[in-house]
Amino acid sequence: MALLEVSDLRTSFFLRAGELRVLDGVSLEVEAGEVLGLAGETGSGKSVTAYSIIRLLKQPGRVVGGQVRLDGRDLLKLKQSALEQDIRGKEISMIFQSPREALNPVMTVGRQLTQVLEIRRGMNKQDAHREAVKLLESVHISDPERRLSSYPHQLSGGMAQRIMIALALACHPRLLIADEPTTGLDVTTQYQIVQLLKELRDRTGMAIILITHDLALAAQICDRIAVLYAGRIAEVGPIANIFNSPRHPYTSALLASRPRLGLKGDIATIAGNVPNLMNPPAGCRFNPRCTNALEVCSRVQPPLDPMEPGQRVACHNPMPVRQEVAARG
Amino acid sequence: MAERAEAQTAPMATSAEAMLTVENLFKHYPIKTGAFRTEKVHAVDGVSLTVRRGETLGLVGESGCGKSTLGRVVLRLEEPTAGTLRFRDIDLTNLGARELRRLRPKLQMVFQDPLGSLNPRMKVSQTVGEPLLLHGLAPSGEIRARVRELFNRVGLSDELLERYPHELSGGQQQRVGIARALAPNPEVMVLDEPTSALDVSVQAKLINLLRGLKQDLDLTQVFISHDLSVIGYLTDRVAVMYLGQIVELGPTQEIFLKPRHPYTGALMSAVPGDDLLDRRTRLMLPGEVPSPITPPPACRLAPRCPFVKDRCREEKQVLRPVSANHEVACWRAAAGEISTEDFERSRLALDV
Repeated sequence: MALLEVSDLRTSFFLRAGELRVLDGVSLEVEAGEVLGLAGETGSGKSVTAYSIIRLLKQPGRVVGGQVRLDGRDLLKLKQSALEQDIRGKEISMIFQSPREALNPVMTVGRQLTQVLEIRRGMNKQDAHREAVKLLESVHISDPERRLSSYPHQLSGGMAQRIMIALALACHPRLLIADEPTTGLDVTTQYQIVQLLKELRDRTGMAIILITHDLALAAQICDRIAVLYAGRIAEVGPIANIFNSPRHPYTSALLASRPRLGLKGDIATIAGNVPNLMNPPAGCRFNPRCTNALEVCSRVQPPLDPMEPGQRVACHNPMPVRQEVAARG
Repeated sequence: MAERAEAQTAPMATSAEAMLTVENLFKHYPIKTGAFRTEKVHAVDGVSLTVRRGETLGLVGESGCGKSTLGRVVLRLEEPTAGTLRFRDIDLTNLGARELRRLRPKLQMVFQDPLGSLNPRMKVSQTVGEPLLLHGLAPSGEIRARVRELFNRVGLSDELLERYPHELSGGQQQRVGIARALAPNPEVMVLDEPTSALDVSVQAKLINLLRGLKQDLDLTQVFISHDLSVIGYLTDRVAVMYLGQIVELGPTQEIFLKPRHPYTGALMSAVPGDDLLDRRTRLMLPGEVPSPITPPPACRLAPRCPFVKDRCREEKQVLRPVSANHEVACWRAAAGEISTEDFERSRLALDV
């Protein structure tokens, strides 16, 4: 059984103008110890998926259907107190895009860490301090004793994200949700954070859901990736399959729209804009922008079906399997 | 990367007219570090470069390296602390407010945050028409038609003319910012991270627009970005900055494929190549960027550089030529003691 099973998750934002169906039936599994990427553009629902799983959605957002099972236990049915006692921080931790904003600005890094250890793991002051030093060492912060007395504003972005990761790991979670953990950091720092996440996964065996708009970054760490478009999964599968032979026209277009050195002529683009979810297109939500669209696409929502070379794709008229991939088997 | 063909020669002949000339430019910001103590942030610390007609110069480096400050100072949106600035053969450094205003139409800027840089109380057509009106560049009867033309040029539909900035998407807002900058027919345009706040698919369209503009309008551009993939695609030459100084300057192809400075080597090593799934270890520099308040006295990379020698801690580094149009501020690289192959080797040594 998978560690986390999300099935037919539906989340809406109830606005004065009407119901915004931000997640329209998202299903996915996370196995123990795997890194699953959730990729997509602004408004695709990747962050809302994470916030729905850990039930941190703010008004006017609300989960309106589906199940989120951790070891078979439905998190959506859990009482708030049980969620806080047993799940958040303990089983599932989360790190965010702006680490300096997520940390308490008027408390030292050390106090924030020891507080968690004292409350959640029942440690006394000395043990908590010793453990805090160990945690900082585990995220490769040099001179941890000195860092413990720093305030968040004294930290660089990369350092603050390491501290966030240390905090998230304090109670040995089995699943870490990382919401754009490297956005806003410099390229070299981004790479270091990704390396750190990879190393921690290997060492602790925790699973990671990595939410990102950066496909290149996802390629560095994810075992599998789910590409979201307008609140639905377009394609999900092992990262090598999807990058080497994307079958959904949206995935394919997204991968092709990367600028790079030595590219001649215009970059490939996707026609049109992301749909308004107040009034999404019927059938496949990508169909008005799709170069492969058939008549059926504007009527019938395509199911997420298994396809070669080993992914699941929601498309009536997928891209052909790339030759070199087919040959390799 | 190493097996790829020898880098092309610079597309820009050195004979083209110098549009912007920067000589020994400094920009320091005083900051209070105690009740009675003031120190200086060395944002730009002795930069010299020339941007020639029709070329796009990329300015890259990590946050805090001074690239945005340099971009604003070269247009004199901020006053330099020391150094000279020239636009063609006009000395900008000591130009009075009045003369500067007369030149302003020729020197335009596009900012990173499209919404923040547009007047929220003005319809976007007014925003785009404003420079024409202020500088008396078009008779008031013709402004509407000219704005319409600019809208078409940047791919905005006429329906959006009477909208306010908050009614537009991020991509549309950035197009308005570009149209406003283009309105007075500039000769030099500085673009500060114009695509950074946008989604991949929106970004791709905007990059195509910028590329088209460059080809059609004979614009000279300075393109500031931390996104090296965009820089690799859009620019002719690249200046790499570290702690307020240029450490390497050369043709884009060469900077990407044959970096000479260890800092450039590390930066380029972090760029995703054609094979996104390549997970080999990258060349990493240990530690963090030192504070620009107290930068290392000699070579600024010395405390982090894997190739450091005693001389690096004693002698300030200046740009030295390594090939045609290619300069590097590292004596070891200039002497041929370290090269791109060494970066590759030290990267592979890490890959176990």
